[in-house]
Amino acid sequence: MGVLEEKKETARKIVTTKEGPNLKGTMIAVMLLGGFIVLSWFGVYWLYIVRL
Amino acid sequence: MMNQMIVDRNDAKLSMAHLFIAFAAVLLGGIAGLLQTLVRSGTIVLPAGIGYYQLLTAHGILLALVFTTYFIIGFFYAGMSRTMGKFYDQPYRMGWLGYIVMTIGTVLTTIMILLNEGTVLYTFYAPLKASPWFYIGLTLFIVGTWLAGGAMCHQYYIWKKVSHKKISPLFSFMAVMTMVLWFVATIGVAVSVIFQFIPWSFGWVDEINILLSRTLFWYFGHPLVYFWLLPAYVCWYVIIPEIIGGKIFSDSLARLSFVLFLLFSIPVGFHHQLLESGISPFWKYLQVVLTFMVIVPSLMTAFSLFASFEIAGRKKGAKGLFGWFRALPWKDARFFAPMVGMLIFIPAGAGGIINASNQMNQIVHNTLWVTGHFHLTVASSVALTFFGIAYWLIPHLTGRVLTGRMHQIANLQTVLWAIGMFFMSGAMHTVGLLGAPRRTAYTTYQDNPDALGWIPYEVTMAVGGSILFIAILLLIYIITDLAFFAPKGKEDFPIGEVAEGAEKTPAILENWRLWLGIATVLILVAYTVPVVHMIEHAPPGSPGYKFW
Amino acid sequence: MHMHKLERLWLMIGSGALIVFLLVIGVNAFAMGHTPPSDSNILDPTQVDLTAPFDDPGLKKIGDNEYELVLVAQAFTFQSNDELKIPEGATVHFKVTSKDVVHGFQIPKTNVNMMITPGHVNTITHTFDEAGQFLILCNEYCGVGHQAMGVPLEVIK
Ligand code: HEM
Ligand SMILES: [Cu+2]
Ligand SMILES: [Cu+2]
Repeated sequence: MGVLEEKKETARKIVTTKEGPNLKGTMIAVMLLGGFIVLSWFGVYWLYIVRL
Repeated sequence: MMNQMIVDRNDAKLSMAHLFIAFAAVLLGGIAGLLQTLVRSGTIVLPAGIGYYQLLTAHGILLALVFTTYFIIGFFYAGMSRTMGKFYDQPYRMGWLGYIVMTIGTVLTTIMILLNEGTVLYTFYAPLKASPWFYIGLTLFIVGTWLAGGAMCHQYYIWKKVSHKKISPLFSFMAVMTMVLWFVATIGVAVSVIFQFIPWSFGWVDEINILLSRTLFWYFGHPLVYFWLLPAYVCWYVIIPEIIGGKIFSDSLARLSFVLFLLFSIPVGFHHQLLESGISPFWKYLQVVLTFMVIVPSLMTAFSLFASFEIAGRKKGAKGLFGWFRALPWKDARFFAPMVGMLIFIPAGAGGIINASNQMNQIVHNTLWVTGHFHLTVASSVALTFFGIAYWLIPHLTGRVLTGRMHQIANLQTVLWAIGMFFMSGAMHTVGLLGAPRRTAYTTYQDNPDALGWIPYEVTMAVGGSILFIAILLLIYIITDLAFFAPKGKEDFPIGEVAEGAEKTPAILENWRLWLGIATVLILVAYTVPVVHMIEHAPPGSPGYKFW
Repeated sequence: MHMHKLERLWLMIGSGALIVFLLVIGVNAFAMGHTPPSDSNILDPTQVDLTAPFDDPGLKKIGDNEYELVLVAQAFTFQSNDELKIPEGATVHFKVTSKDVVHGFQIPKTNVNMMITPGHVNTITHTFDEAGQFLILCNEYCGVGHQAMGVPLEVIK
């Protein structure tokens, strides 16, 4: 993330929350969750295909 | 804000009356559940002429309808009283009336199940025909919930008039939204029971349109699961942030997600009828697409929750990417039980997406996978969250406290539940993929090799079920203690505050007419053509059968 | 309404994944002919025995290693006048209705899984590439004998 972008981001965040915008951990957590969903979905899709 | 810190004593009584029945249902339903796992694994044979399916009907009704609904209504009364103030006279009286009507219905239906006159499972699919009193009991139950919803809406209405506020407290908004969803959803099942099942079971008409009855049931059946889930979301959005010493991440986004649930959780019932004749693949797929829309607010919820954890943790000085995760109050039972519920919602949700994926439903439909799935959703995510609420709500209402020792016992309860469910639900998911059917007593299909291969998994289910049953006994111990024996004192009713400086909530989010209007349009789009076809292109109806 | 930048990104990725799922199953269903069983034929559920082809349920050869298997589901069995034996590699079109209550129709280890509602016919096709013992079972509660409702299906070399 560029410095400028980061500044803009902070400026905007002040409107929504005061606590600051650092939600990197949250992002990684939800991405792990998303990865789990995608993996299990394709797992069962694969089962569907081999059982056709 | 008229923010009372304590729930009014009379409102507390109304709420507690509901919670007692809820937890009595958990105990009875839990006994049934344990016996089911023991029967299915071939460990025991039921004594005294009790049938497996009779037990399963009781388990489904007691846990999926009685426990959930009574708990939800009791929780909402308390929370609305806490955030809007004491219930006004009229809604208060309506609340008690609803309780009485619901309870008469529950008792009537239970008696019919005990008499073996209603062994049709909690989905009562026609043309299996129960005693008319079974259906009348269910009708009274639903009418009772309408009175309860009416009481809440009336309270909300008076509050808005008196306070001249455009935006209601978040808790109350969510409670009213959940009950509005319930009103719209129950219309389907009420129409079916009143106009199809009751006349047919009394013999006033000879035949019933099966496909229509199933469609009306599932028009209700999917929003039913959101009716269970939304109160858990209320806890996650509104209560958990306060318990962890944080703030509500965004009031507007929380409300928006509830609006989206109202819009998209109803026109999706066909995802339970994907493998049925008489509905064209186009309409099935259309409802699958709408089903996927309802996943979006849950994705929003996941982000909001993690965000409120991260923000709270960082405020307390947690470092690194995941320091905030460790900084959460893991020893606090009010947090731990719902948090484990939230984590379990990850595999639960993933499974739900698979179930709804059109033809992929052929892999899982009516197998034990599905049973494994909803023991993660309603019987873990929702149930653990409700238990976590009860741990502070009951002492708050009875003027007692949740002691440190009780925190520990409650956390043990949660751990046991998670372990038991890991074994039971895990085995159910796996053996379901291998093809083992749900709702089926012990069987090997004449020693069929495939069916014999399922038995080790069914034994694992029984192991998990036994651990779960111990957890239920522990739960009942905790609830009894908190209601009658815990030390007197003042237990908090935690209600989170919105992060300071958060943007003002747009009033459009409380524009009921708008949202109900859009919901109606979506329902009409998703259902009109296929339902008209179902009625015009109906085969001769079916007489009733009593095959038990 | 303001939304955190990362939340917007997450919702885009998440919705993107959902759209991919929908496209995959949509193409598989409509372009490749794997829509879920949705037969629209109807009949009088009290006259099944008199209605063709259910008046003579059983196995009929309809092509080169291609069969139609007509079955009548009733509490608590699947009725057929022929033995359920088919050769390896056969494509079987299952055509089923119910004489009484709702039943299920499932063959473990395959994608064969559909609901049998009285008054309606349901159909599904499967090719049995490997020989072996299969089991047709009912996966919808239909009464006290529901757990006994299963018949073997043999695929022979
Ligand atoms: C001691 C804890 C529990 C055990 C051992 C247990 C076990 C079982 C078993 C073995 C089945 C049926 C399997 C079959 O299809 O034959 C079942 C069904 C079911 N359970 Fe549970 N369960 C427990 C708790 C719960 C809870 C807390 C809920 C809901 C809040 C719940 C909701 C249901 C529902 C809705 C069904 C489906 C009934 C039907 O198919 O008609 N269970 N349970
Ligand atoms: Cu659903
Ligand atoms: Cu059956």
